[in-house]
Amino acid sequence: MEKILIIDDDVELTSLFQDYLVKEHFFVDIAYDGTSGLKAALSNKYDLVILDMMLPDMVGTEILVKLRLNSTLPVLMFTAKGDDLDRIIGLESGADDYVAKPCTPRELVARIRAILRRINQQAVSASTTQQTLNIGPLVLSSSNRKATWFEQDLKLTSTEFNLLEALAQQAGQVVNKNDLSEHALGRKLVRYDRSIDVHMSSIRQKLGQQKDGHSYIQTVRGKGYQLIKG
Amino acid sequence: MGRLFWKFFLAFWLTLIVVAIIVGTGVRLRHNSTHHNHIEDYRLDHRAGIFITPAASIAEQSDIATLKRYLNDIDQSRGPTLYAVDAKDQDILGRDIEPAILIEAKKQFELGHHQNTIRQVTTPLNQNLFLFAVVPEHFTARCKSNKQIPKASHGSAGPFNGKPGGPGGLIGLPADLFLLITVGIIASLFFSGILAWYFTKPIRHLRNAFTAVSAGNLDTRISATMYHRKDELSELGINFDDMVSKLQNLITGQQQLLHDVSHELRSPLARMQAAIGIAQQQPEKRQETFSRLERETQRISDLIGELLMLSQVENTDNLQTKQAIDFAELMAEIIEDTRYEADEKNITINYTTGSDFSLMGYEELLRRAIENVIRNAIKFSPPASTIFVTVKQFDQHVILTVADQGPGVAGEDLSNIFQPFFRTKNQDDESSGLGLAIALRAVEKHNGVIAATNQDDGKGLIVMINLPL
Repeated sequence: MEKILIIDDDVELTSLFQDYLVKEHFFVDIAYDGTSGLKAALSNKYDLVILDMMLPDMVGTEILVKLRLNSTLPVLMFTAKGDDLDRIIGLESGADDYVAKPCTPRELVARIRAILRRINQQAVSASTTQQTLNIGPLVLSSSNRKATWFEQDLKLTSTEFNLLEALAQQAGQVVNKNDLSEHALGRKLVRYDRSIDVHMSSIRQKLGQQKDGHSYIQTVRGKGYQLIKG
Repeated sequence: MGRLFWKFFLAFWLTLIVVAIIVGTGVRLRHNSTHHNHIEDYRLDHRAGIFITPAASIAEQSDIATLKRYLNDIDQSRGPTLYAVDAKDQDILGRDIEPAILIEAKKQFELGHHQNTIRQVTTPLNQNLFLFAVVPEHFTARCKSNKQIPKASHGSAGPFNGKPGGPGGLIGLPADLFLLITVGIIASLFFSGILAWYFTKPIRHLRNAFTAVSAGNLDTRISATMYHRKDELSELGINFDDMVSKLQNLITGQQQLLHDVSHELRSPLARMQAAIGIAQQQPEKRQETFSRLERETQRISDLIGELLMLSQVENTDNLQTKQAIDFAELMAEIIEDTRYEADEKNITINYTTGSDFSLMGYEELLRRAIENVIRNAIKFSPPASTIFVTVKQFDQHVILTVADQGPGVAGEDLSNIFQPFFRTKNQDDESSGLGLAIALRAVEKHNGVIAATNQDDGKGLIVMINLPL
């Protein structure tokens, strides 16, 4: 049974979600403020965290940044609908995906399942294929999910690793956003969904620029992204 | 350069030209009327023989009265000035003579110079008269210059036009006058331009600022650019800045409110959606879901009601006029209404009031303000406690205090509790978050003040409303 931690200060809402998720065969714990939530998230007891961005004592991004220092625990964040800035900052701070609030519990469960399914697939693929991808200065080791860039350790969130892996597997070719979304987020792209672009811009920042000032990852407008080969 | 610039420019220029013409004419008229008195500017005229010779014959052959007439005629004809001085050095027409000129004339006469123009005659009555002619110095100078460049004189036929020594040069435009006018025109154009620019520049600044503000840039400020002026235009700039910052605050406030409202609506909606999800997942919980939905819809409806109230407070001026309110009666009604809620928590409301008075105001707003403050006190009071409501009249003010025995408010939050949707950390969100915000605005509509403090012992909050009578 997968263990989920909800960090949200709305007592009534979280108890409703708990009720719903338990019936969907999840184990659910609730933290009502950022401090106790962060402590619980770092306890390694959980498979996934649902994090509200508006907490009484800490902003969600602060918790995310602190969590990401030591943990790759998948984070699904609750954002306000229509608050794009919130969403982008959240994804940039290392959230794996988001759900706009208010949302139906069914939608929430679908997002949770997508993230967990993807993590499981990674575990399976890591144990069966001892694959190492080597594209120019980039080395991606799928078994231990480590990446090096010009022989330096590259710190990637799990979603970013997946995205880079998907690009590296087809280096030199355009990979469309829908495939990227399915590979990295475990779900199809929806309308107005900017998550892939936000994650991609975060990866670009970590990789830096080529000597000629161009990025190592190129955008092909209307199609997708492409990792420069060699 | 806009039209205003050209209007200013033309107005200033025309004014300068007109002033120059008036001043110029005035100076010349004064100059002409006084040039006989300016003796220091006069010199002996050695070309006035044609006036002196007849004068000498008149003096030698006729009487003094005829000579006086002749001298007057010469005087009025703008010729040189002829003096006839008697033995006592007095002019026979009684005119003032500068002594230096007289001395000079006598010296020349003794030396035997200019025998034509300086003469000593004896009348038939055996009176000695000394005759000489005087001419303005600048006039002789002009005669010389006209002689050198006669073409430069316009219209006039020359210096000795009919009358020798006549001031013919003043009628035309000699070269130096022409130069003077040219320089004057250029200078006046220049200064008019500067002046017009000086006035229109801040107006142009203002116009640009207006354009920027109407394009939505509310950060526009202009007083810094015209700070050095310190005149009415810079005051206008300061007023403009005031206006824009007030607008900016208003708009920022509205945007913040809209943002907060959407957040406030989101929580009950999220709970409703979750509840519906549960009802679908677990049909046996339908009844529970219904009551939850009812609660949440009530919450949304309350919130919207409060929001309408808030906007109504803002727009009171358009809705109604102030009326005389019997304050004691109003308070009695409010206490009666709130007692019902207080009884549920077994809370006592201790109400004391002094004199009876009435006050001009909006009754409904005042009722909401006071009611909200008392309700707030009831909400935070522990069960079975007492709330003290006091009304006191001081001079031109009425002060209403509501003191509860609740947990109080952290010092830094004391002013924030009147902001819309502000919630203290230990507060549930049962309330709309607008009650005290409505109270604040309603009190401000009455030019009053509302403030909160903690009780001295830290037990409980005091909210004080001060209304002018």
